[in-house]
Amino acid sequence: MEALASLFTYFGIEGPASLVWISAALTAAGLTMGMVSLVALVTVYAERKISADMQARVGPMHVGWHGVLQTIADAIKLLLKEDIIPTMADKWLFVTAPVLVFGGAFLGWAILPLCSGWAPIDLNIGIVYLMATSSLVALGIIMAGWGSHNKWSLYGAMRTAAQFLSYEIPTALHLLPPVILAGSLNLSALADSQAGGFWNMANWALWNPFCFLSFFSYYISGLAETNRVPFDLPESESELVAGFHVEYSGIRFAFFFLAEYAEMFLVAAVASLLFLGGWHGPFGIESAFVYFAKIGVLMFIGIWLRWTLPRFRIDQLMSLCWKFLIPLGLINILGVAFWIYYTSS
Amino acid sequence: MNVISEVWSGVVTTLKGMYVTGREFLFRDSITLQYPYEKRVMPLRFRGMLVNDMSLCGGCTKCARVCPVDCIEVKCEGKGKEREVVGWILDYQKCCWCELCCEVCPDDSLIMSHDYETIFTDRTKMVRDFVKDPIPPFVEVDPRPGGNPYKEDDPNRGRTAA
Repeated sequence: MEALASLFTYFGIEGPASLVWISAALTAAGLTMGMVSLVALVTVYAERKISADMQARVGPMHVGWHGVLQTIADAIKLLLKEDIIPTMADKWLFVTAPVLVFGGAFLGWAILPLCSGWAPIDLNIGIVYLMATSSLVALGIIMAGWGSHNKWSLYGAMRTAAQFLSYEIPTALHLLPPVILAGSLNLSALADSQAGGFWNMANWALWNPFCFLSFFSYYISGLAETNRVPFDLPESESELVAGFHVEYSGIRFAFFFLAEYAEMFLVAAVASLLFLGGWHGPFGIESAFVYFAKIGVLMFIGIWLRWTLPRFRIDQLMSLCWKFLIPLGLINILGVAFWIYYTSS
Repeated sequence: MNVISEVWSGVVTTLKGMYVTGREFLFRDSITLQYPYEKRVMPLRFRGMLVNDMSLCGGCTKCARVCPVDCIEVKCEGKGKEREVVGWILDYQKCCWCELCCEVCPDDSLIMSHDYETIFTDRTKMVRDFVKDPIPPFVEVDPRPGGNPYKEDDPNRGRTAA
């Protein structure tokens, strides 16, 4: 954002400092919003095509070449659909919930760098901020479930409460080992600390044995936090119709949808920044394309898992979190601390 | 140790599942048929819409007599060599696709075509006089030009009517 503000002054756009700052902030927000929509469009199409391929189908084929415009058509359809608010619903909760859910995912994007230092806000406490904003999603989903005045959505919301509150802990714990290793909470600094070595890969935090375990554990808890299969208990179609968003239609439903894919990208992006060296690619390439390639691979694995595994049972979900991921996270933090103590001395 | 073996089996079974879906993703083609654009080639003995080739039909009325549901009505005029078919009326609402009429047909003029799109938009169109409308509109290609697809050496074996 500082870069944008200086860009404004470079092009001679004069004005009070606060006005320049606000317009820079709005521009950054607009660009990020555009990117979120673009990522969601591409990911939804990719997911539909990949899942179709895995199930011997062809997926969308009619709108555009091989259905490339299908997502755009769906988005237009959702925009034009009637927006229904149930009579018995708690109107304010019902209306604000999708905004809050999307806001939680979108706020995380604010600190997501594209390349070293190239973030809307290059925050020095990035990870803390990320954990704080992502809990907004849980709040929004609980509000959606309660406000809909529907038993299925309430069940979904209660499951969300249990799942999110449990999985926030391992997510935070498993982000700590690379943070301890790099000694910074800034996402750009974390990625830059892993540069160098053979093909810019040798210094990845992933190769540390404790971070190696943390990477997979973080990815699993990330899947749980984004409500993806096999952790889609809050919206399980077969039991709860659609869980917390049963009553939502049109653009409000689109917000939930957009939030899910924005969060999925966020989880993949953070994993690639903290464990896979972000934009540092082989042959000294330092580019956003390398970064996006890593994110793409991680998202593909997420989609792959989604179309492979069945849904967890609620007690299995809880035991995975409390009996395995959290103890492993504590062990990993301790292990990395000892690792640093012994390697530095 | 119980935890570790559980985790290990979880990882292994997940990878096995991912191997299966990954194999499908990479190496298997889809089996989807884009229906209105592509159509299935029906097997040789498929019984689709019944059609009669009036150029071969001698009007013997065997089909009308053998039909278990009385969906065929044959009208003839004249005797001996002057015998002429003036009406061969088929009611598709009644037809039960038993193929008995084709089996008894001595002129091989009756055919069960390979047309499986048995949809009508109008009830009146379901009763058809093959003398007045010789080529049915629902069969785009004549199912049997110059031959009977049910015979072993026929070049039109297994071809679709649609």
